[in-house]
Order: sequence, then structure tokens, then C-alpha cells
Amino acid sequence: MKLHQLSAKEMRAKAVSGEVSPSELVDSCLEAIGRQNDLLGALISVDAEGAKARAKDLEAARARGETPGPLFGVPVGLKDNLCLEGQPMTCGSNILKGYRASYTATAVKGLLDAGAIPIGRCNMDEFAFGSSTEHSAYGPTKNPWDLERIPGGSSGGSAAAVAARMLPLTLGTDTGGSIRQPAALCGIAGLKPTYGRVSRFGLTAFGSSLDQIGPLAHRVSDLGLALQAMAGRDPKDPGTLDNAAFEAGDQAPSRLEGLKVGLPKEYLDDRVAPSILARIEAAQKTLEALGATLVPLSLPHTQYAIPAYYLVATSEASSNLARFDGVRYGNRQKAKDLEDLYLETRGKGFGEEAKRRILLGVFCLSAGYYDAYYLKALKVRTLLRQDFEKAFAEVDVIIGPTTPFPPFRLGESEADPMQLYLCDLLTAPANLAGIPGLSLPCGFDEDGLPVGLQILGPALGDETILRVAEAFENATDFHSKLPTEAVQ
Amino acid sequence: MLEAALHFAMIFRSFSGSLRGPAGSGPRRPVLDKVELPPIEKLAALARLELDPGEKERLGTQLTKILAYFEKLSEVNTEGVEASPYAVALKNRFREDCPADPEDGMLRGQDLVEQNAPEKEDGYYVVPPVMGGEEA
Amino acid sequence: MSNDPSKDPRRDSKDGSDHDSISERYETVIGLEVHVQLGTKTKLFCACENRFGAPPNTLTCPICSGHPGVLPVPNREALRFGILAALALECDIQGHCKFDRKHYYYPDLPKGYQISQFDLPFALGGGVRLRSGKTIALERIHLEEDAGKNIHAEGHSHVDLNRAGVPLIEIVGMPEIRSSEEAHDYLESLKRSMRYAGVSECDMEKGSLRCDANISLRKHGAPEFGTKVEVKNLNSFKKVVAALEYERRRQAACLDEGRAIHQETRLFDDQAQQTRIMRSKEEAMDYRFFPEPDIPPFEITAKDIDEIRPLLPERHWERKARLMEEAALNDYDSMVLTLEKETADYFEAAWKALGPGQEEAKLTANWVMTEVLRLSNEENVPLSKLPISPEDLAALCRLIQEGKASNQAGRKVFKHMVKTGEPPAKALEALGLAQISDPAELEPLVRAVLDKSQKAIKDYFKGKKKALDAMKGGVMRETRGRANPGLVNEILLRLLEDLRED
Repeated sequence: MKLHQLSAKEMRAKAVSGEVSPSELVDSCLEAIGRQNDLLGALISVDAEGAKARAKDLEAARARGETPGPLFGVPVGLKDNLCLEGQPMTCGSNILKGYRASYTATAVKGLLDAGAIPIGRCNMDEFAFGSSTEHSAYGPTKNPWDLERIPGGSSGGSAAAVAARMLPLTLGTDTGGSIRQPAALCGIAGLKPTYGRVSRFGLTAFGSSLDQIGPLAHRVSDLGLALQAMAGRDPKDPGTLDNAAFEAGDQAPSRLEGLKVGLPKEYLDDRVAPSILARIEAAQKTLEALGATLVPLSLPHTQYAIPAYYLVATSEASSNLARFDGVRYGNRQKAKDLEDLYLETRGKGFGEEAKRRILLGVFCLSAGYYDAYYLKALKVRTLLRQDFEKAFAEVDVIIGPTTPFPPFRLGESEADPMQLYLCDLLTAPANLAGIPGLSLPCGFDEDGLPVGLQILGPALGDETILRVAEAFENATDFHSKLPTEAVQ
Repeated sequence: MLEAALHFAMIFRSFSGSLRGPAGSGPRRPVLDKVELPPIEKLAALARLELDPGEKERLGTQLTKILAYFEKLSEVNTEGVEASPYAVALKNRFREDCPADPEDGMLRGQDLVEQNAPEKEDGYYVVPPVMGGEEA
Repeated sequence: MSNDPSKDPRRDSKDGSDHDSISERYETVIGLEVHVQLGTKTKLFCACENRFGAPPNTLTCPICSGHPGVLPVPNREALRFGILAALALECDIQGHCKFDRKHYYYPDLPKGYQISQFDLPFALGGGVRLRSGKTIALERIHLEEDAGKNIHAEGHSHVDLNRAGVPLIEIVGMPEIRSSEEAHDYLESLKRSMRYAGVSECDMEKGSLRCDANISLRKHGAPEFGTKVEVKNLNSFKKVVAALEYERRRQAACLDEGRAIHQETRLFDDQAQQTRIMRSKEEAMDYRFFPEPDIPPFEITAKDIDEIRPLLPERHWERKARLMEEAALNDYDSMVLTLEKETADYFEAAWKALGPGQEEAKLTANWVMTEVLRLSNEENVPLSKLPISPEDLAALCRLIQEGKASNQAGRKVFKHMVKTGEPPAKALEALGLAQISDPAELEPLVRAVLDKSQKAIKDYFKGKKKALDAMKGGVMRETRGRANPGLVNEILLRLLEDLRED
């Protein structure tokens, strides 16, 4: 097996034992990126020199006798909405062309402190607005399993880079499913931690009360390692929890005796494609075989999650994106007066999906509509949350499909944005409730496209869902299948 | 539930051939006419977005359609339900009144202007003339 | 407004007082919104310094500059200052509070929204006490961040973000003010309250106190308010008065002609001394307030308030009333002495050191209101840094009270003390100004003058009272002013009576 195909944990082990050097790991990943990225468009920019220099620094530190961190020598990719001081950050948008970050995100700092090596910036839907990574000013990302199809989004670049084994580990962000959905569609694992577990400081905000940074990897244990490096109460993020810190377990569980697994009927009805339902049914059997008990239950407000989610998310987004005005930074357009400066810079700087969401959010918050839209959505959010609270009083985790349907073809959703919004049907509820969720591969449909199994846990139940996921991974071998030869 | 399922199925049908369920002839609420979207120009002005004529038309139509779908929320009885504007139940998150640690890795002051200002002069950011007085 | 120059409301302007014909026709209704910067060390949501006068864009960081990904973390001290200010104005501190976002676009507003408080401000009610005894009720006080500054340059504008994120409280008054004079008085009282509480310098020149005014007119006895106009950009008390006077005349002229007042926001143009329209109601901002999702809500408990309350000193109007009562000072004197907390502190310390009586109070008050405040003003030194401590002043007053120095000598001693730092008795000695108050010492001196004043004595016996002054003047000349005038008078009269019997 080539070095770049190893998991983060395996890479680290080899780097620590001295079997390979961080430089060799970087070189191997750079080689894979060089070979595949033009085809996939997973990375917007690659900092080869910076990564090589950092690998040397890590080697020198190791030679000095410094203890290697839990991600020592592991090359990683960062979604392009995360700040790394001095480095470009575009958020997939034309409006931030040329912007260089003025500080480093707390989560990214966590990875650096653990010994990771940032190697490139992952493509994304502009400002994370989308579920297909088609809405990037830097071109679309393609699904490594079928280059005609979307990889999911908005962290599509982060998912495709891992799926194609360019990198073992990337960071994404998840506001309504933007880690889990592309992870599912690209056949890898992705974790959205409990809200407040990982600091949002340095994550370009989309929906402030929904956003979480999380890892994507081809092995579940890497998710835990990354979460450990990032989680914790951050004085710079007042929304982080006091008990946010996380410690990854060493032992992979092989059995799930006593575990109660909830099966919400709303996640398993005819809103979900049959090819996907079939894989979820198989996954249920696998979990049962591992000793888990299946408990049918209901999350009655699920059908309202999409409108509630989009109303909250776009309202917050319209506010969060008000700062992009070309005054202090960013891609300023020529203007004859001040009003023109705003209109032109924002009009030319934002793509159509961003404009759509900003307008929707402005509408929801504007005088006369606030109560009927934004406030109503916040109340429905409370009901959705209560659904989960009731459910988690009965079960330890909830499982279901991550996506209601397989990845569609590039360009297919353009005519009707509402179709795209429905991709978040099964993932957005976790963001509204602030609970953790992950997706991992649970098979392939008749077209050979990967299917994701979603595991949801109660708030701060990240460890539980990781444990269940790892047990499932150990019992199956979907993670070891690689996408088409073309991208190897 | 049936109604919702049909509604979803109708939308899905148009782009995915692998869906289960009827092709959609069930009852649907006539919701489109319930949405009173203000003129797209007004929203665009509030959002400070220049839109070309094509965008205006597309976005106007799409927003109307999206909002029509979101009208679904009006089905939910939310009487006596509290709103949840926050993700988690935290309170009283304050910092002490201590000046910043200059070594915390954040760019400050003129370095911020130097690194990213699109236009600068004498240490200031430069913008087209601002009319009128201050807002506070 | 009419284009006819003869209708220019300024033509109607008289002496700026309210006692003109307009007030016979209309009642003026004014409500003020005052922004006060809080004097914390750092800004409201980031750890940048809160300081006036630094070079542009040097007190900034990614947070107050609105860079992508930043988050606000509220400053505990800013809330404590806010609570202190609210207690000073007798507000009800609220238990459940939150921050909200208020959206508008302006180059000095880095995030495109201001973090403020909308429906759950930290204080409600309260009031501002006017000198007349009237209290103007407050609607609310909320905490928010300041914007930066736009500075007009040749052909473009400059943006300085040093002020962006500085903590502010906005004090919203009820429309209970009825004249520009009351508005002025309101602002004076409010400023004093803030300075007493120690939460802000309230220096309008530095922008640490700013004011927007809402004004409308109505017929006397009308049940409803008239249409109000908001006037912005009022950065001195003088401008507040001038703008309100202008606006009152403009609105009265409109109403007199049967034209409607339009609800609008106007700016005060200092140069033209008039207000001009900034935006109409139709263009009114849609601020799109919504709860700030980045900052969890906060609670202020009774325990929090109990911890802060002891930090609040006696309020200025309470102190004034007490001085009038305890020291028997008149309204004016007690007002001057309580203009600044420092002055009142200085006065009371000196008074205590001198003695408990009302006479001592009067003597001390005279000295503080004249020499002490003059020195402080001339040297631009705060009272606490003056070379003369309240105890020094008390010692000087004691010399005067005991007749060891005249008032005139006292002033010279005061100046000498300032120059040398010597205690008053020593200064008196050094200047040779000690008053002669010993009758045994004075009598021979008076006799010597009488011996040389035969004509004056005769005149005196003929009933010319002026002759007595001449003889007194003689004694003062001989002693270079050091003779105790009262005592000289007494001895002169006695010796003259002795002469009459001869």
C-alpha cells in the first residue's frame, strides 16, 4: 500500500517509529494530489513548500527529543473557510480572492499542536452554501466514485480528497450536513461533533448557531484523533462547552452488547431512495449481530426540519455575510460612490447561491416577516430538539441514512435550488438540536455509488457514536474499497 | 404525513429515477399564493446586492417557490413553545477586562491594514466619500 | 421646509429663550437618547485597548475589524460599569438579558451589524433629576458597541477603527422634556451622574458622550404627541440647544402655515446652525434585529447587584441636598460644589478638617469656590493633584477664622503655599502677613496715629464719619495692612471717647 493511502493513525505510527519521515509522508501525498487533483478539483490551493518546511521542522523537533503529538507528521487538508494565519482563505468565493487570514482558527491550532501538517485548502460551496460543491468560484469538485457526479457538499473538497486518498484526514464544517453528506456520497467517514465541542473561532460563520468544525477520514479512529486535537473550551468562543474536551479511546470495540439503537421511522420511509434503504436495513442487521438492540421510534417533527433549518441558517448567514463589503479586506470592485461600492463588491463578489440565501435571510429578518418566519422556525427548532431529547431518553444512538438519495449528476440541481435543499433532510435535524452525528460507509448501490450510515448521539455523546461507528467499521470492509482506478 | 411524503416525492421525482412511491397526484395545499414576497429590488437593496435583470427574475421566482414550501411550518402548532435562538443552553460567558496578549498570534493594528486593505492612506482604510454624519 | 427665504425659521429667532410667542402656541416635546462610552481598559468584545487619541487603526484586532471567523466575548467590567451607571440613575436592573444584532451598512461598522440589546436591555426605568426638582423618566439603558469613525478627506473618506467596539451604554429618555433649557439641564445632570459613578469621562469633545434628540410640537392640552423629528450629530451641549431651538422654530413655522411635519431624521449642520434632512421615514432603516447567536444570554442576579451597589457613591443630587441641609449652603453654592464629585470631596474634606459648624462650611465653601477652583482651572490640574490639600486649606481657613490672617493676606498666603508647598502658618510668617490681633500691641500704634490726627479728631467730633475711616486707614498703613480691622475700629472708638471727655 502506498504511503498516502494509509490512515492518519498508521502514518503517525510509522513516522514516530522512524520507518518513514514526515517529509516522505508529505511527498507521497503531494504526489497523489499532483496526479489526481486536476481531475477532481478537491483542493483549491496547495502549499507544497510550507508543508515540506513544516515536515522538516517536525523532524528537527523529534530529533531534539520532543514528544511527537497524536497527529505527528500527518498531512491534512483544511476546508477553505478555516483561518490559518498568513495563508489565503477564500471560502470558495470571489469576494475573498486575495484575502490572507490574520490569525489561526483554534481548531486548526489544535491540529498543528498535535503535529499535523496542513498541505492544502479544500474546495467548498461558496461560504458553505450548498450540498454539491458546485457553487464554488474555483470550479466544482467531482465525486471520485463517478466523475460525472457531485461529491456532496459543502465540504465536497474535503471529502473527495480523502476518498481519493490524496490525504488521510481533512477538516470540514457542518451547518446542515456539510460534513456527513459529502462523507456519505464519497464513501468515507465524517463527524459533526456536538455543538460547542470544537471552537468556532476562526471558522468563517455561515449559521452561527448551527456551524461545527469536524474531521473527515477514511478510518473512524482518525475522526477521534482529530476531535481530541480540536475539542475543548475556548475562551475565544463563548459558545464552547465547559466539558468540551475529548479523549479518543485506544481500544477498538468489537461488540455492542446492551447498546440501544433507535430507528426513527421518519428516516426510513419513502422519502429515502430504496437503494439506500436496502443498505440501511443491512446495517441494522450488522449492528444487531454485534449485540445491539434495535428500537423503532418516531421523531415526529422531522418533516419540518428543512424549512426550519433553512430559515434559521439563511437568517444567520445574511447577517454573517454583511461584513464582506470590500472596505477592510477582500476583493473590492471599482465604485463611483459608497453605495456603489457595497452594491458592486457584493453583487460581483457573491455567486448566485450566496445571493439567494442572503436574500432569503434578509427577508426572514425584515420588518413584518420576522415572527412568521425566523421566530416560527426557532420554535419548531425547539420541538425538533424535544423529539431528540425524548428519543435519547430511550436509546443510546439513533441510526438512519445520511442522505435521502444517491449523488446526482453535476448540473442536475441547477434549475431548482429547492431540490438541493432537500439533501439536508436527514442531517439538518442534528444541527438544529446541537447533537453529534457521523456518517460512515455502509455499502454501495447498484451503480456502485457509496451509501452512508448516519449515527446520531445525544449532546456530548460523541464518544458513543464513534464507538458504535468503529465497531461497525470493524465488522465490515466498505472502508477498504477504493474508488475508480482512474483516480488512484 | 402522507401529504408531506407526497410533496417530497413530487420534488424528488424530477431528478432521481431511483425513488419509490407514486408519481404524485395526491392532494397539495395551494400555498404559492399565500407568500407575499416583497419586491426583489427591495430585498436586494437591504442586502446591498447588485443584481442583473436575469438574476432578479430567477431569484425572485425561486424565492417565491422556496417560501411557498417553507409555509409548511405554519402547520405546526407552536403555541407556548419557546424559541431556541441558541445552539446550547449556556449563559454568562464573559471575559475579564484585561488587555490582549500581544503574542497570541493575531495580527493587530497597522499590520491588519497592511496585509488586507484594498485601499489605504496614512494608516486609514480609504472609501468613497461618506455623506452625512455618524451613526451610533 | 419652505423655499421662501422670508419663511426662514431663523428669522423668527429671538434670544434663544423659550419665553417667546411659539411657546404660547405650542408645547415642545423632547426626548433624548444619550450614548455614553464606558471607561473600561479594553473594548466590549475584544481585548484591544479602549483609549482615545491613538494613531489611526492602531488599537484594532481581527475581532473589532470584523474579519471572517471572529467571535465576540463580552467584557465583564463593561457590564459592571453599565450596572453602576443604571444604579446611579435609579433604574431597575433586569435579570434576563441578551445581546442582539442591529444591521446597517456603513464603512465604520466593520461587521455590517452592531451588537446591541433589543428587547431585553439590562436596565429599565429610572430617571434623570433636573435642578428644578423635576425628574425625566428613562425608558431603558442598554449595552452596545461603538462604531469606528469616518473622516472626510479630499475626494474620499478615511476609516479609523480604533473606536470600533468600545463599550457604550445608550440611555433612552422618555419624551418628558419641555424646552431646550430642560434638555441642557438633563444632559448636565446625566453627565454628572456618570462622572460621579466613575463609569465615563463624558467628554463630548472626545466623543465619550453623544446625543440624539427627538422633538415634536403640539398644541397645549393636545392629548397626542405631534409628529417627531430625530436630530443627529449633536456633539456638544451648545449644539443640542441650538438644534432644538432651530427645530422648534422650523416646526412651529410649518404648523402655523398648516403644513404637516414629516417624520424624518435630520442632521445638525454646525456651520449653518440649522438642521437638514438626512433620511425620511420611507427610507427608514430596517435594522433586522435578531438575537446574537454568538453570545449566550446572561443573567444579573441580586447578588451581582449587591456586589456592585457599594461602589456607587452618593448621587450628585443627593449630595447637593445634603450639603444644603448640613452645611446650610444656598442652592447656588451647593450646586457649584457638587458639579464634580472631586470638588465635593475636596470641600467636605476641608470642611471636616476645619470644624463641624455651618460657619466653617461657609468659609470653606468660599475658598473652594474661588481660589481652589480657580487654581485648578488655571493650572489645569485636578483637585486631587493640587499642591494644597484639603487639610492645608482648612489650616489656612483656621488662621483666618482665628483672626491671625485677613482674607486679603489669606489669598497671598494661598499663592505662596502653591509656589513653595509651605504650610499656611509658615507661609504667613514668611510673608510677614500675620495679622496683629493683640490689643496690647495695637493700642500704642493707634495712639501714635491719633497724635498726628488732630484735624481728623476735630472733624470726627463735628460728626464727619469719614474722618474715622481716615484714621483707620492711617493705622492700616502703619501696619502694612496687618492690623485686625475690627480690633482697630474698636480701639479707635474707645480712645476717641476718652478724648471727648477731656
